[in-house]
Amino acid sequence: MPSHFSYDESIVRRFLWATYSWALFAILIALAAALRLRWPSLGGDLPWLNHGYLQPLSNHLAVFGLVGNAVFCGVYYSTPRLCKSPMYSRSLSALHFWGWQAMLIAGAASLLLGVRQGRELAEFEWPVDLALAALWLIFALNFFGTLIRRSERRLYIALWFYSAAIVAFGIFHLVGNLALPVGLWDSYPAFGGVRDVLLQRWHANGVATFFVAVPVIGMMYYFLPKAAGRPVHSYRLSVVHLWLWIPAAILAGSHPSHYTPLPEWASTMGLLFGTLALLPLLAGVFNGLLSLRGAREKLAAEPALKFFVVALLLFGLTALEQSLFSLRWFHVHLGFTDWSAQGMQAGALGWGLLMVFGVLYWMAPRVFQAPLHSQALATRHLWFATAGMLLTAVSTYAAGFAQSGMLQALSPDGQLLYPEFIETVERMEPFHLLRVAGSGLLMIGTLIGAYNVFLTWKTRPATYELEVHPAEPPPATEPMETRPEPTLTAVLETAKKWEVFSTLWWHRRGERQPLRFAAWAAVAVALPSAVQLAPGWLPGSTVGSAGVSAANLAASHGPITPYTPLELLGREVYVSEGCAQCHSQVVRRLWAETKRYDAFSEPFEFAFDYPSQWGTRRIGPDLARQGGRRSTQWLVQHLANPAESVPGSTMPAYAATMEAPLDLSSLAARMGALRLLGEHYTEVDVSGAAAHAEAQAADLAEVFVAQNGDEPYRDGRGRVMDLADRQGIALVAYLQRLGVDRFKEPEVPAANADTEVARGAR
Amino acid sequence: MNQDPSLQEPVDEFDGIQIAGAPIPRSWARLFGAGLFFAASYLFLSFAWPDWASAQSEYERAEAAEIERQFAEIGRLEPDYGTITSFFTDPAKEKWLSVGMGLFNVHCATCHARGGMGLSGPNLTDDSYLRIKKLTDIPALLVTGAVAAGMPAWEGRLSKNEMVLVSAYVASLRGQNLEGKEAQGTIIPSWDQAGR
Repeated sequence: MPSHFSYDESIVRRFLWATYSWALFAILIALAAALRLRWPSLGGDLPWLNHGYLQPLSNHLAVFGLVGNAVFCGVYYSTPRLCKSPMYSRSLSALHFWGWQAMLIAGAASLLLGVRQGRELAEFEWPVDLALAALWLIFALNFFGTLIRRSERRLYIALWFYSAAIVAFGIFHLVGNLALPVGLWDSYPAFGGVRDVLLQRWHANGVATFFVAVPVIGMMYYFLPKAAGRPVHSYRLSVVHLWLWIPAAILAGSHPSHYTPLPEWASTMGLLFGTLALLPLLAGVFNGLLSLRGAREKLAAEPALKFFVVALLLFGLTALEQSLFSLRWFHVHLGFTDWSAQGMQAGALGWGLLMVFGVLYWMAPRVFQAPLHSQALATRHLWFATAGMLLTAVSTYAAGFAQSGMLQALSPDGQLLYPEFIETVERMEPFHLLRVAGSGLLMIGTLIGAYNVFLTWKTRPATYELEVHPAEPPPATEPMETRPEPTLTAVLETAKKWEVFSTLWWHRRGERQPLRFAAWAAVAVALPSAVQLAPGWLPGSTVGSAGVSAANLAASHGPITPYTPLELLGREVYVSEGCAQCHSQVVRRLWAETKRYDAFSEPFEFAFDYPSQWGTRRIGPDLARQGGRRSTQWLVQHLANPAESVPGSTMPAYAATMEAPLDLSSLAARMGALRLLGEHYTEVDVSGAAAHAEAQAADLAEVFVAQNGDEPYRDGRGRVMDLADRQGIALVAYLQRLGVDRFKEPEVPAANADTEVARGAR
Repeated sequence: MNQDPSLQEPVDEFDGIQIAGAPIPRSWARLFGAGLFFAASYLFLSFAWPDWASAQSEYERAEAAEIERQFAEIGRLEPDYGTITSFFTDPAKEKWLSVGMGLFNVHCATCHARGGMGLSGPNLTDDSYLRIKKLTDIPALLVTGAVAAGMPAWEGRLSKNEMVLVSAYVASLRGQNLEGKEAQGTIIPSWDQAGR
């Protein structure tokens, strides 16, 4: 063992630059997404400029690029110092850094190309997901390796949160992205229908909690007392904070199931734990703010502390909002509106962003070994960022309330007060303008921050001074904590046990055993997760799934049949164009909703959806029962030129899909993969797929011409086009299929000549 | 115990950061108690009165109230000549035409336009019709649709009463001759002469 060591600050500097680079990029994309939501053809009709492309891209970059790099920056700075030993391996650190940036570039490029899973916060396809998993493993090895080789006896609070986050995110990432690849750039999720809904929600909530919130709060526990020069307020509250938070956050994740086809007990559970999750979150706020008592002068002089205070206050507000949102009576006014999708962005990211920038302000002068260029600029950054965040949050909130108010309003004689959906979109326009302004302010703030850090870096010394620390021997062995004897005597056994338990002796012991601690975290994640996902797997559950053979499904659920080959290809277009960013596909159990969209959705109706496309909001109307509601002619014209068929529509034009050729070559692989997942198609279905798709497309193209007054389709330049071999016709076939099975008469088995080609052909 | 952490014996110290041994703040403990109380009460209430906490029964209550409201005044409607015409001959029932209009605007206006002057679907305000020969053909066409021509079947999507109200509204549009889609089909005799 060498006698001296120094902390690796170059890796911290790299992650710091990466954070600022991805922050600027992610916020720029968020601004572009906000602009395109308001002006759908701004900057041309390029597909990758559509809101459906940009919104998930900005979410992923903000989470994995901005927050990810910032957390690594904080972890690589604080962990070795808290362990009094260098990081486990410098080459693993470097591999982690460069690999992560490469993964992000590949992920961003693939999302811009429309290569996506179509699942919330899990859009990256399997090669990127595998790379992410490998990099996470590298990070985990490096981190836990450092903990095991530490020269401190115990783990500090920040390390508890880091450990929990690393273990938990690993689980969420692996389970939440289980998929069967179809070729290099496509895959089907391992589970379909409502099971996929459950997994998507569980995973997205897990990412927001364990990739963003938990490690960022871990950083707070290091950088806040460090910057304030004050002790952390309460050891006991920290323990309660972590161990209540993990299960409560996971179980709270089922509250978006209010009024949906998921079982009611799941909704009740989401309500209860969603409310209770407020308490551990507030424990963190209390612990942070109380640690600042008596640090008033510091607060004025240290910009980082100002960021921390505002971040903690916003964190408290977010927690309160989330727990209110989990109540059904509140949810009904915001669920499936503009707000629900932005809750994550404005809430989780809002306070997280401020916390992260605060940490960077504290670190920059230290790792660049030069005083911060300007405190005044830092304060200005804080106000721009806070104002931008609040404006985004308030405008989406207002848009959500305004829209759901209109969607659910009934006239005295029981009819919809605003029967035309477009009216609600028009009402949201001023709020969408405000959102553009909010993103703009955030962008200005981040630019100020980057400029400030850049000028700080400019005044760095010619060579960085390397602080050398004598290597400390591992701490002298000290007997492990043992269970203390109860001091109470004249009480029940249970009270004695509780007294012993609440001395926290077991936690003190766990703090000396990083792997045991990690195992606790794994259990704390796994048990509530099992409960949360149970509705999809419990025997006798009514959620339906494609694990059931099609025949059994027909017996129990009526005439629900798999998609035809053409509809399957149309679904791919729907997923890769990101239609679910604005259109939901689930009719909730609300009277006004069934009045607008027809019968509420039943779980089994989604059995063949890989992935499910419930979505989270309604910038456009719900499409769960779209099939047969519009003529084929109308759908084609609407996709080609939405503003013409629905004046005021903010949907981008998809005329390009009417020109893109229909590629049938992937059908065999796709249907083969779906067979592996759930017996949807027979071998005959697969071999005859291309012919069946061609026939259905030709039929539908003819229907279009007939409904169009025997006029053929003309593109924007007036050229006549046969739709039979175009992508657009597949998309229309899919839309015409949505939600119609439910109302079909059950087919008489084997009565039709073409059943051997594909079931559900009609 | 003392609430000021600076007077507490620190539990531990890492990299210059002390962990103070303050007890759990009393205000937080109270909130925690309140949270548990809320959860327990909610659970109890949802078991004691399952209907109160159930989205399904909430929906059924809304449905029952709705049907009562709709049917209490006009009763169960039949798609016959007398019933349909009563909505534009009987002033007391005229407000139901606006209900028909509301339904039309939700379901039909995307093809027939608000006001019925036609878009991709035919103009309903002139005297020419493609598939209608007499008044009661309107509710019949709603049931079956004209699927080949792009008009969906509304059976099962609109209730019988709703179809009658939409039919009455559509029938009332005739003769306004609004500017819109050109006339299609053949001119048919007025409703009262076209047969019942």
